[in-house]
Amino acid sequence: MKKKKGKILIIEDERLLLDMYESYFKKTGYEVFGAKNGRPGIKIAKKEKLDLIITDIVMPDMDGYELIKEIKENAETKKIPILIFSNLSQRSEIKKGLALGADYYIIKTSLTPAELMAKVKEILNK
Amino acid sequence: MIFYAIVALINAITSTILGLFVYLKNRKAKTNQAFGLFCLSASVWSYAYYFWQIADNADGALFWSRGLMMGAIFINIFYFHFVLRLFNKIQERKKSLIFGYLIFFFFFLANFTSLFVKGVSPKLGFSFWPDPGILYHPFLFFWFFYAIYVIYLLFKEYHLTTAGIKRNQIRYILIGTIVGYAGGITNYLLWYDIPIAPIGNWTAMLYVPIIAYAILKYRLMDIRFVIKRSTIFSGMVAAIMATYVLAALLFSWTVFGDVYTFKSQVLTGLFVAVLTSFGFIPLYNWFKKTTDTFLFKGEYNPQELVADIADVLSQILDLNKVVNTLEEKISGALKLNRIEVIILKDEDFLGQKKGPKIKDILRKTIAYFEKEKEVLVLEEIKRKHADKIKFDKSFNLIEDLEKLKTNLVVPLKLKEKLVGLFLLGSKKSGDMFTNNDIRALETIASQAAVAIENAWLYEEMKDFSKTLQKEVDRQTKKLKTANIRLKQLDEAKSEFISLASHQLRTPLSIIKGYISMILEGVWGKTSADQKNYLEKVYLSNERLINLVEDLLAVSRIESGRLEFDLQPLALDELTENIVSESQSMIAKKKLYLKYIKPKKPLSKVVADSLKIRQVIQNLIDNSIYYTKNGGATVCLKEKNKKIIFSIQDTGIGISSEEKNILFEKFSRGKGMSKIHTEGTGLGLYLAAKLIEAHKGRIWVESEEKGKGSTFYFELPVE
Repeated sequence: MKKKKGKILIIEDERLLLDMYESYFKKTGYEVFGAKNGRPGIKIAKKEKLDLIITDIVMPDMDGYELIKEIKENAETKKIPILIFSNLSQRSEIKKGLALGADYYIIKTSLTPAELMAKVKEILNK
Repeated sequence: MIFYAIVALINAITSTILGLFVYLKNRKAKTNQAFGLFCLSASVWSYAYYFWQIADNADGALFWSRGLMMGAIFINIFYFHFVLRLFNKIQERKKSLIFGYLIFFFFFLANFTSLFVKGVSPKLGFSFWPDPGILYHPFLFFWFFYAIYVIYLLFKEYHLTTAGIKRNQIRYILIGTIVGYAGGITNYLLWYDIPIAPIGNWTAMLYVPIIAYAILKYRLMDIRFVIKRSTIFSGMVAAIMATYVLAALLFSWTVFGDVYTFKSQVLTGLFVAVLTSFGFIPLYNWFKKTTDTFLFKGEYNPQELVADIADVLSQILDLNKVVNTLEEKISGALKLNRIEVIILKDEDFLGQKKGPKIKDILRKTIAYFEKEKEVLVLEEIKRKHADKIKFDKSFNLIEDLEKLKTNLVVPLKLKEKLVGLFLLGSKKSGDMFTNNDIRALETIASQAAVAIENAWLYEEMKDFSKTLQKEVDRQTKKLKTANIRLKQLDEAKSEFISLASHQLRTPLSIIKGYISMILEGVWGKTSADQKNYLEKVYLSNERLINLVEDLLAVSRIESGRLEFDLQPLALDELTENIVSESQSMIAKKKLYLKYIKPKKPLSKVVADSLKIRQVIQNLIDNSIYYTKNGGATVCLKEKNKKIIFSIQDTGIGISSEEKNILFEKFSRGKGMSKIHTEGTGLGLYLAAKLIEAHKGRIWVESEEKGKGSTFYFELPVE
């Protein structure tokens, strides 16, 4: 078995999308954890030594912004790079996410999974 | 003896004049006719009396004494008739009247015989005093009878009349009658050898001035003004005559030594003429003032009243004040018991509480005055009604006006339209309304009509502007509510679009994701055919994604929520990039896309690069879509502090009608649907909105269909 390229947490409330990304990343050779919203996401983040968190913003219960805040406030998790992957495309929304501590912001519909993958590679190679 | 002659002559003249005045004033009125007859008989008596007094033989004396009896016989009955007429009692006392005429006519006939006046004989210093015949005694009886009858009637009427003008009239007539008869009676004493001369004749003379006074002050038979004028006139005549006589005397004593030549006459005349020319007007005015003072004491000056009211009215616009002022001033000047000003426009008659009956009367009065413009004097119409000359509409109002205690009604008319009424009660003094009063009131009425109309219009205008303001407020409120509603709807729409877009994106992403993965071969090999069809699916999906993006952008722009990241932007760089990126797509269609580089670097603009990129991409896409052969040329220029981007294609061109709607939502050129079914119809609309948001301008030029088109946009330099 090839060595896993890295540990990624994907937080996305749409089941179909989550499945698609999970399967794609797994196929490409990453270890992928999935969560439907912020709370289980934080649990996983605390438990696993993640290389990257990819999160949506618009989610029930705890949305992406709150999640980012929590991750960055927690000493264990604050070093993990966060990639916001959302449909919210307004300048203000992007700024807000980045201001809270996310490192990257990508708009979902403009990228294919392959393009997303390329970006992820870029980040992890840093 | 000459005294009695003079007295008789004076009596004759004054009776004649009085009779003439009264009769000529109103020939048709029965009252005036009756009084005229009375005066006629009195004149006849007096003239004959005069001639009798100066007769120098018995036959002459006898003749004239019969003559004077002619008058004397009828004096009583004519007077009786007159008084009945005056108080409208003819029907009541018809029998007495007819009997009286018959009996005195009998005596009239008897007068032609010696049974009445037997002869003449000297008595008490009179050379020729008549002796009574056998029929004289019954005559005297009836004479007394009817004299007393008349006085009795007058007394009765006096007691029955409670107040006012009528009472005063009766009082003076009564006094005059008593005085006249008392004086007249003294004539009969000598007939019966009672040694008392007819000293009372001179009191008979007083009858005329007393009646004249009743006429003047109480407007009896309405010849007051005439008498006033004639007093002035006769005064003037007397004064000028006196002057002439005096001057003539003076000249004759001093200059001409008692010799009256033509020369002396002319000189005297000249002197008097000069004097008169200078002194006429002051003299006239003096007479006028004197007669006014003596005859019309305590009267107001009508001209002053009119001027005063005009002055005050011109300053008031408040309807209530106008009415109050008019009532005060008129009532004060004329010393009225009551006055009311009625305004027509106000259904409530200015909100005064009036019973329904009164309102009916007012309405009747108003209806009368819609057509008439002459004032209505109650006494006059009552008189006319009693005289039964001819029917007049005003008679209908007699009862009503009495109920209203109104003696004078003046209509206020403005250009033939009835605006209001003055209802005047009686004067406190009981006097009648004079012609001067009425003329003054008419002038005031026309001023009042104008003032009332103005005040009314002013009130209406105030009301109108209040109503207008209320209506404006109401409509504004409505508009505000509608506006709020619209805003809410707009917001709801925007939110809906946002939400919808958001919801649409997820499935679109999934389709995009999986299809791209399959195409990459992540899930295994795919055949060339499968790849082909899957690519078509992928492209369709891309279109959907673009549509959603456009819809979202449009909704954001319209609700003003689109954010712009304005930075300095080098348009030439951006354009070059986009052109080179698009080359592969262009080449596939076997078209060209040229870019003409500007000679020197362009100034920067302030813009959101992503948005401008979208615009340029859209324009390029459009050009390529609608070009079958050839291609497009992109060019950048700087001019007048603006950067102008242009893209010229060799495509199908645009007609002038299409040009107008090109930049609107969902518009595509007509017939475009036949050639290309791609494109959302939102592209140019969005491009236009984005450019405009940057304070730029976007337009298109095309000669005509089939000759290609050039799209331009310009942006202001930084």
